[in-house]
Amino acid sequence: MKVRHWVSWFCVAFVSSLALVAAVIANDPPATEAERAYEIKETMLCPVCDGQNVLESNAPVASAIRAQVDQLVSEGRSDEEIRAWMARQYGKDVNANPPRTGIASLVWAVPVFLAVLSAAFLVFVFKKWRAGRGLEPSNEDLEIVSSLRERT
Amino acid sequence: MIDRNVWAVRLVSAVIGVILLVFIAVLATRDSGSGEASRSPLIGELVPAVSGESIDGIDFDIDEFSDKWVLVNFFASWCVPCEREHPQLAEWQVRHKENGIVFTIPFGDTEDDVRDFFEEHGGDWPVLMDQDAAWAVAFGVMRPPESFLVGPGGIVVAKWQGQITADEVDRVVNDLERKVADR
Amino acid sequence: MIALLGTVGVAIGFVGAVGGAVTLVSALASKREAHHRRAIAWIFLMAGGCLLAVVAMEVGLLRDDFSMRYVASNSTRATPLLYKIATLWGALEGSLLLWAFVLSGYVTAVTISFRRQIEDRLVAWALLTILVVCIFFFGLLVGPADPFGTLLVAPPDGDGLNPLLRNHPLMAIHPVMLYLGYVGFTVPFGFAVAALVTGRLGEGWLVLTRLWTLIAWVSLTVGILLGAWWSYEVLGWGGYWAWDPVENASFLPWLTGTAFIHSVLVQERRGMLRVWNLSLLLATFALTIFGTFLTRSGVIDSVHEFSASSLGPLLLGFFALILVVSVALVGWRGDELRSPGSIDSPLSREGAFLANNLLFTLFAFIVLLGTVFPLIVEAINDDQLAVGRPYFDRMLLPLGVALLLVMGIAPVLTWRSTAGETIGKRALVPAAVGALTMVLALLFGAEGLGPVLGLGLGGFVVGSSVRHLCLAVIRNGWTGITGRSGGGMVAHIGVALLAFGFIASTSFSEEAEFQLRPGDRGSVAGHEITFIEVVDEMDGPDRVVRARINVEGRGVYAPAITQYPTFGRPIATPSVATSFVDDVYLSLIAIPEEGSDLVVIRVLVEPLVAWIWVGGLVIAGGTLLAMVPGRRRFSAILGEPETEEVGL
Repeated sequence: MKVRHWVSWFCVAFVSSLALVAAVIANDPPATEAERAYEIKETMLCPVCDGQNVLESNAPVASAIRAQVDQLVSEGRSDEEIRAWMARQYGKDVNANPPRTGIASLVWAVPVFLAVLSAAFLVFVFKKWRAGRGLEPSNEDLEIVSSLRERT
Repeated sequence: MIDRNVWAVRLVSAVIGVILLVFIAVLATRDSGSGEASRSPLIGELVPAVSGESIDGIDFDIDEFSDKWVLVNFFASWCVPCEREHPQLAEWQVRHKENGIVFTIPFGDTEDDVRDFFEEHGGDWPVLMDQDAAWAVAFGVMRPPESFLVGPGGIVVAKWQGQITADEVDRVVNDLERKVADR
Repeated sequence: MIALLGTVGVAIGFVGAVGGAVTLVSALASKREAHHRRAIAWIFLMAGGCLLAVVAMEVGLLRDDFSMRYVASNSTRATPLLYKIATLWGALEGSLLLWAFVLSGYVTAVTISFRRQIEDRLVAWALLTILVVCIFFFGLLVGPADPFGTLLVAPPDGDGLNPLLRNHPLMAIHPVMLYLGYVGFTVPFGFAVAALVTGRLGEGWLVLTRLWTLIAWVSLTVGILLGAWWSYEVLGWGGYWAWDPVENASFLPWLTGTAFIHSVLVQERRGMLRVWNLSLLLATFALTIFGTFLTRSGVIDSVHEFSASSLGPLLLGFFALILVVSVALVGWRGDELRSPGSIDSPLSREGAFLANNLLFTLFAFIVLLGTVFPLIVEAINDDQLAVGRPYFDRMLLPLGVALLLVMGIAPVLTWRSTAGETIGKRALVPAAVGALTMVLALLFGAEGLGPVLGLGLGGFVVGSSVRHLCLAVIRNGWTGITGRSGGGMVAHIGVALLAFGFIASTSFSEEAEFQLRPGDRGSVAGHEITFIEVVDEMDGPDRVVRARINVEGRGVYAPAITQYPTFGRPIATPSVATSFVDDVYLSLIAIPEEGSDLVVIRVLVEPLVAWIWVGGLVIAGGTLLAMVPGRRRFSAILGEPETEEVGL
């Protein structure tokens, strides 16, 4: 019974791992100019929409910004240059991702910090309560039990 | 032992309470909605380059007018507030015949519709068609009507989102002229 | 005349709320239980007044009475009937009137339901708390947010709402469901405050409010999903959730509320997690008020936003009051909330629920942080920055994965502690289902660690929930799917379906843009579309330009662009060819120029989107099943170890 279960679990784990590996391999990062422009457009917010990026929005300003991003990418400008230029007239909040430096880094760091803290809290709570678990039987108790057993 | 627990709970509650009150204070001091003139990161910067042929076939370059007040107006023929503000633009142009000029750049519009609009509503100032809305993006235009006031020296001094009046633009013009005179 | 009736109605409502509250205060102070009863009449008066006001507003809207300011600003003669009715909640003052109406409905229902227990101090305090909330909202309606102002000269026609709010019937239902949810949480909130005040911190108040909490929760869930569906069908970008601040504001109370409805199971069975439960519930209610503040204060820009107004400070003040009262009460009673039991092992239901609470709380915190961070940064150094969708997607993905895992594992665990062997035996089939799901996904072309893992965990959840349901049905017959255990499992299946739809449509959608002439074809992800023709016609004062497109195997669909003369810019309406496999989402990007017949069409193919809505339906169904009383064993006091599951 036990061996069968171990075998079954092993199979499940094996298949799952294979599947996950295959999934990871299949996914490549962007490389071409078109892909770079796509990625910039995907992370640039349409200024008049509600949380849509310029790629998805069909507002006129969004298609205008898309055209400009394509133009600038084909001119060879870097990602930072393009984002900075757009921020110059539309404001820094045209970029969907807050910067990783300065005070904005808190929005990235605090959640990770809290997640670690929560995990630690869980571990602590479990350990603390486990400590109050059942008592071990004393030698006296064991003797009484074994003497009772012998009788039957 | 019991006392310590009670104080621990009270302390935690107090700390949480203080954090929340600070949060409320932050929210309380936020701006709700915008006033007349909008903020624009472009204010204080050099005006973006705008040059080309107007719909009347005359070459224009915004830098030629660096000694004057320039009111750059982004509009669209189908936009109702644009239609309503048009006479005000004409009024402003009349007031500033000597020291100012209105430039119109259509946003999301066709040349034929623009011509029809100007024929119907008048307006004797340069109208330049925007290639791929490049100028609109350079100015940070979101939706028409948007107007930018460029002072002598080529610096953007104000932006308006929505319908404007000649008086509102002149409020800024006079304010700045007074400041220069006071210096 | 009608406006006057409305004003009178609102005033009566206010008076009723105040009278009821005063009566209860004096009854509680004098310790004469029989006097509690007097409040009932006042409550009915309040409800009657509110009903009168709502009827007055609807009559004004339906009769195009433009002497009423609200009707003139928000309705037009041409608006279709359904939307005229829905205009009641289309703008600021009306939405508050709807809030007050739903609230007075709930209070009345609670009063009737608890009429025999009204002499109980707990119930009296609960009603008093809820009435204080009523006083606030009716106060707003009587004062700064009066919906019944009149104009000296009635204009010939009204302005009408933003056309986005009146071109889809979902717009009529979504706010109502959302309010049933938001406002519904006032009831358990009242009882929670009552429990803290009276010191009756046991499980009594939870049991009393169980049904009300579920009703509020399911309404909020459905309301949020309807909003997402509306966004999908109307806004034209092919998505349904943008982590927009206002969407987040509705999502926050849902997150803490969901944690609450799960965590209470632990308190009912073992008397534990009391501080968690009270905090979660108080937070849920506070967040509903916070959401109201965000949408009505002008602090954040959005299509949802009602015009900026003086309500901001008032709503913020009320929010602050609730926070102060909640923290103070929990702080005061904190020590008495220590539980008689404790968690023996992490591998137990209690452990899973505690982990669940932490995950949901962290999730809610991140959503809150991302939403208000721009405001905080602006307060500190006057910088404007945005926290957009990529942030939320990236930060919340691991939490979502962890939640799916917990959802799948929890039914397999027992109370107190579970032997590893038991888990191994029970979780085998569900894990196999998960692995199979991953393989199937890969076969269908899925890729990427996150999405495939998510799909696998969804399969795990389905396997685990179905297993639990089968066992319950074998043991108890068809009643096994009712009650909180069975209904809960059905709801979890719904969540898994939703997860499938969400993961597939976000990770594996494909799109392309085509410039087409009549007769031209295009193809995306195996779907072929043919452009037939452009139809340009007038719908009343509005000009509608439709592009008729044939989607192979699905018929003719016509995305459109409409120009509304009274509204600034043209509005694009997408057209969606739905199926259970995928949606072909068509948008018309640009109206053809004069003399040209070239159209620009964007085609998005999104797999499994329909399963999001199906999943939502199953969640709602499961919750309804959960409300049917099932077989329960109360072993809260004894805390007996269980080796087999029985219906909770």
